[in-house]
Amino acid sequence: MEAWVHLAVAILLPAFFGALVAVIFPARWRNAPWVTAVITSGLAFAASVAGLVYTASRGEVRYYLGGWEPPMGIELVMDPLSAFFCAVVTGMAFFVFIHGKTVVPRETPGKEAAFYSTALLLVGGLLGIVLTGDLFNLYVFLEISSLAGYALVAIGDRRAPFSAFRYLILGTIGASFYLLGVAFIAMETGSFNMGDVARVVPALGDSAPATVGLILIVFGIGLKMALFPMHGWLSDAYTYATSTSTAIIAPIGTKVAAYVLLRGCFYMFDPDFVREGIPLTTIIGYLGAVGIIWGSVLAIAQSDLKRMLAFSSVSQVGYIALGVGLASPLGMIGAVLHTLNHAVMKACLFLVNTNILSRFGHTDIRRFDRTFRIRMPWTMAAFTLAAISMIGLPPTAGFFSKWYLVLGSWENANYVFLGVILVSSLLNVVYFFRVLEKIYLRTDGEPYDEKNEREDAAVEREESPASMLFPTVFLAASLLVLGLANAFIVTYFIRPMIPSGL
Amino acid sequence: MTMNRITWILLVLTLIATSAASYRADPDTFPLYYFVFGVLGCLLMLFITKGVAKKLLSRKEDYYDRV
Amino acid sequence: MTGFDVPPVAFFLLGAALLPWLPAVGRAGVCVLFPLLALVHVSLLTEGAELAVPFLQYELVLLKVDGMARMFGIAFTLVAVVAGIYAWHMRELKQQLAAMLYAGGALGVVFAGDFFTLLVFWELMAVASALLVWAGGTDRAGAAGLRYLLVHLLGGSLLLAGIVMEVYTSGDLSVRAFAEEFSPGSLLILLGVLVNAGMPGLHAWLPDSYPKSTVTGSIFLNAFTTKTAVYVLAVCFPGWEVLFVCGLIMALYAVSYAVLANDIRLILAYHIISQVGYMVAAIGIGGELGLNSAAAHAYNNILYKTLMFMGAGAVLFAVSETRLTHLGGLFRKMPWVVVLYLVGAAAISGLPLFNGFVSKSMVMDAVYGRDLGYSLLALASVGTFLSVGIKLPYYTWFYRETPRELDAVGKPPVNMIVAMGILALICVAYGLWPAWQYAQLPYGVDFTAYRTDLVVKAIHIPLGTFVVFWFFRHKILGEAKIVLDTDWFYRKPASNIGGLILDGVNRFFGACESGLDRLIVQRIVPPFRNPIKALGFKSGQGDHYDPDMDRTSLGSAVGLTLLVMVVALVLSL
Repeated sequence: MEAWVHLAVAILLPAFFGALVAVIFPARWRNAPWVTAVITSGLAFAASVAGLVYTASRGEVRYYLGGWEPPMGIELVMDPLSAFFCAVVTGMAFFVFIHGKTVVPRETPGKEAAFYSTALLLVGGLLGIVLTGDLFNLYVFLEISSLAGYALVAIGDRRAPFSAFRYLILGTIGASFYLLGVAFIAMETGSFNMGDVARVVPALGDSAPATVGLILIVFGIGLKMALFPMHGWLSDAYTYATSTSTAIIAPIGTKVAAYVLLRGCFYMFDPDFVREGIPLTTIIGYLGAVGIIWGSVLAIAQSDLKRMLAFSSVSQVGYIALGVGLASPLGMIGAVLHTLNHAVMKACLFLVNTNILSRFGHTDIRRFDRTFRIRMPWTMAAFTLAAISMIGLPPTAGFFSKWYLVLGSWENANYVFLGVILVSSLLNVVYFFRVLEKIYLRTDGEPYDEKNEREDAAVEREESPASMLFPTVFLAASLLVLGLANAFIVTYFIRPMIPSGL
Repeated sequence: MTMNRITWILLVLTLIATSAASYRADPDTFPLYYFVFGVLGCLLMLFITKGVAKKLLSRKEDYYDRV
Repeated sequence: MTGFDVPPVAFFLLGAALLPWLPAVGRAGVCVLFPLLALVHVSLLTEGAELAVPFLQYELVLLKVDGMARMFGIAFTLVAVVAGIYAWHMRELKQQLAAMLYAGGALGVVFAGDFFTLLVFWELMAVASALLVWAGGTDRAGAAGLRYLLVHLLGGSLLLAGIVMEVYTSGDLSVRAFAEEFSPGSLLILLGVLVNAGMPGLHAWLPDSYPKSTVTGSIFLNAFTTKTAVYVLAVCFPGWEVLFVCGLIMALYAVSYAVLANDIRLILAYHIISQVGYMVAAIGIGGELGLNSAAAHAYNNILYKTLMFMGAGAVLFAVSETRLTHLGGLFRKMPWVVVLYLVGAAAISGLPLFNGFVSKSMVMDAVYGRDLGYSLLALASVGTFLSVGIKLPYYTWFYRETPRELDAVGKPPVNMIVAMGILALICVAYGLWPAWQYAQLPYGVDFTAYRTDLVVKAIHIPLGTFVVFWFFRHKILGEAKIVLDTDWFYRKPASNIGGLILDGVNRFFGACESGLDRLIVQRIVPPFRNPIKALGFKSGQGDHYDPDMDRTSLGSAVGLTLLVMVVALVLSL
C-alpha cells in the first residue's frame, strides 16, 4: 500500500521532468528531445496503466504533496476515474510522440527541444488537472496546460499565431470563469479541497453561490472542451497548428476538460442535485446534442481534411457531453468509454492526416484520388478503420460507446438524444465516405477499365517511414481490440468509477 | 455391337432353360410371365414417356439459356 | 477397437485440415489414405460404442454405432477411398477439400446420435457438395450450384424447424424412430430429409446439378447426399406407409426421365433417384426385412452407381462430351471402361451373379404381397435396364462409327481404371457370395437370393426389355433435346418473372433516382456546402464554406457563451 501511493506522483513527475530535460541537450544531439519525450511519456503511460489496474481492484490512492495534509496541503487523488483519464492522456501522448520523430524536425526545424518541452508541459498540466484533488491547484495546472497549448498552436504556420490568439482569448475567458466559479464555491464551503467540498455541499442545501460557482466552472471548462457554442477557437487552432501539435492537443485536450465536467457534476456535487435540483446536466446534454449535429454539418462543408477532422471533434465532444447530460450510469459509461475511443480514433486520424501531408504536401480532399490507396496502403487502411469506428459500425470501438449512449437515451426515454445519435451517424457516413470514395472508388465517373489499371500499375508504393506508420496502424488496430474488449473495459475499469449517487 | 444369329440362339436357349426351371419349381405360374412383362413394360414405357415428352416436355438444349 | 471411439468424421476433417499444406501428390495421397484409415476404423467400431459431449443442457452424441450406421459408414468410407483413387490425377485443392468435407459430413450424419450434430453435418454436406458442383467451372454449373445450394438450404431449414419443434415438444434431442403420426415436427423433418432423398417435386436439384459437376466431383456427389437421406429415413421413419408410396413414385418417375434423357450423366443422375425409390419403398414397408433390404440396397447401390458414374466420367474425361446423340463407337478406345461399366450396369439391373441382384431381390421380397406396388417396382426395373443397361452403353460405345468431332480421343488415366476395377470386383464378389452381405446387415437374415423364381424373374425381365429395345434401336435415340422437369417452375419463370420484376424495379428506381437526384443535388446538398450561409448568417457569402469568410467572430463566440451561461443561470436559480 505504502509504495502504491507513489503511483500518483509517478504519473505526474516524468512529464515535468522531461520538459526540463528536453531543453538541456546540446543542439547537435538532434534526436535527444524526441527520445526524452518518448521515454518520459512512456514511463508515465506505464505508471498510469499500473495505477488503472491498481485502482480498479483496490480503490483510490491519495498522495499528500510534501506530506502536507489537506485542507492545508495539496493532495493528488488517483481513483478509477482519474487513473483512466491519465492512461488515455499518457497513452495518446506516447504514440503521438513516437510518430513525431521525423515530422517535428521537418515542420519546425531547429525548434525540436522547445517543441517537446512545451508538449511535455502540456501533458504534465493535463495530468495535473486529472490527478489533483484541489480546485485551485487544478486552476494552476489548467493554466500550465493552456499556456503550453497556446504555444504549441502558435508554433505552426503563418496563420498559426492568429488562431493561437483566438484560442488564447477564449481560453483565458474560460479559465477566468473557472477561477470565478472556484471562488464562489470556496467562499461558500470554506475549502478548495474537492473532497471537503463534496462533504459540505449537500449540507448547504439549495445554495445559490454554490450553484453559480458550479455553473461558472462548467461553462469555463466548456470553453476548454469546445462544447457548443463555445467551440469557436477549435477549428482554426487545430487546422493551423503543426501536425504533431494538433495530434497531441486534439485527442487529449478536450477530454481532460470533459473530465473536469464529470468530476464537478457527479463527484463534487450530488448527482441528484445537478440532475434535478438545477437542470444543469440537461443543459449540457442538449448543448452536446446540438454540437453533435452542428459539428457534423460543418465537417461536411469542409474541403480540407484537417479542418474536417477538427469540426468532427466538436461533434464528438458533443457525444461526451450528451453522456454527461443523461446523468445515468449508462450515460456515464458511454461518456467515459467515448473519451477513450474518440481519443484513439482522433489521434489515429490526425496521424493519418500527417502521413498524407508529409507525402503529398496537402490535405485537400478535392485533390484526393485513388492513387492514394496504392501509394500508402497501410495509412489508408488505418484511415478506413478509424473512419468506420467514427461512423460507429461494429465491431469497432466507436460503435460500443455510441451503443451505451443509445441505451442510456432509451432508458431515460430521451428520444431527442436517440434521434441525434442516429442522425449524426448518418452525417458521419457522409463526410467520411466522401473521402473513402475518393481514395478507393472514384475513377472520374468512368468505369474502371484497362487504362486505369495501367495507370495504377505505374504508381509506386511510398508508405511513410516506420516511426510514422507504426503508431498509425497500431492505433487503428487497437480500435478493433478496444471494440472487442469493450465489455471487459466497462466491467473492470468504468463500472467501479460510477459515483454512488448516480 | 452386332447381334448375330448365334447370340440370338443363345438368348432363346437361355429363355427356354430358365422357363423350364421355373416350371419345374412352380408349375402353377406362367413361366414366361416376366418375359412378357418385360416386353410389354418396355413398350409401355417407351411409348408413354416418349409420347408425353414429345407433346409436352421436350425443348431445345439451350432452352434455359435463352431469356 | 474399444477405447478408440472417435467419430469417423474426424479422419476426414483432419485430412481436410492437412490438405492446404501439402504438395499436389501428397494431397492425392491424403485423399486415399485418410478415408482408408476411416474405413478400417469404422469396420473395427463395435456396436453400441458412443461418444457424448455435454453442450448446454443437452448432450451431443458425436458417435453412436449400430448396425445400420456401421453399414452405411463402411459403404461411405469404402467409396471415398475408391473415389480418392479415381481422382488421383486431379490436383485441384478446392475440389479435394470439398470432397473430404463432403464425405466427412456424410459420415458425421450417419454416426450422429442427436439431431443437433446431425444438422450440423447435414449443412456441412450441403455447402461442401455445392462447392463440388461449382467446381464444374462453367456458367451453367455456377447457376446450377447456386440453385442446388438454395434448395438444400431450404431443405436444411425445414429440417431445422422440424427438429426445433420436435425437441421443444418432446425434450428429446436424440435421433430415434418416430411413431407414425403426423406431428408438425416430424412432418417437417420428413420433408427436409425427402428434399435430400430426391422425392419428385423436391428432386429437381439433383438432375440439375450432378451432370454439371466435374469428372471427379460427380463421383462424390452421387454417393453421399441421397444415401444419408435414406439412412435418416430408415432410422427415423421405419414403416411409415407414406414412404412406400413415395418410393414407388420416385422409382417410376425418375426412371421415365432416365429413359428420355440424352446426357449420360443425366441418365445416371435420374437413376440415383429411381434406385433410392426402391430403398424408400422398402423403408415404408418397414420390419426387419424391409430395413435390411433398404440397407443392403443402399450399400450395393453406392458401389455400383459410383462405378457407373466413373464410367461416364471416363467418357467425359476422354472426349469432353456426354450427349448420347453426339457419342458412339468409342468401345475400342476404352474397352476396360466399357467392361467395368457393364458390370455396374448388370448390377443395377439386378442380373444374377452381381450384388444388385441380391439386394433388389430382397427389396422385391419385402414388397411382395402388395400387388400393385410390386408390379410398379418391376416396371421400374424394366426402365432401369432399358436406360442404363442397354441404351447408355449401346449408344455411347457402340451403335455407329466414332463421330468425327470426337477424333481426338484422350485416354482415361490408369488410376480411373483401377478404381473402377476395385468397385467391379466388390460388386461381383457380393453377388457371388451374398452371405458376406447378409452378415453385415443390421438385423438377422432369413433370405436366400438364389431362389429359382427370383433368378428366373431377374433374367426374363431384361430379356424381354432387350428384345423390344433391339427392335426399336434406331428410333429410340431421337434428337438432342432436353426434357423439362420440375425445376422449370423455378428456372423458367424465375427469369421471366425476374425480368418483369427487375424491369419494374429498375424503372421505379430509375424514376426515384432522377427525382432524388434532383432533390438532393438541388435542395439538400447546397445548404451543406455552406451551412453558415444556409442559416442566414451575415458572414456567409460564398456557395462553399470558406474558413476565412465564415469563421465565427470572437465577439459572437464570447457572446454566445455568455448568453447560454446566463440562460443556464436563470434556469438554475
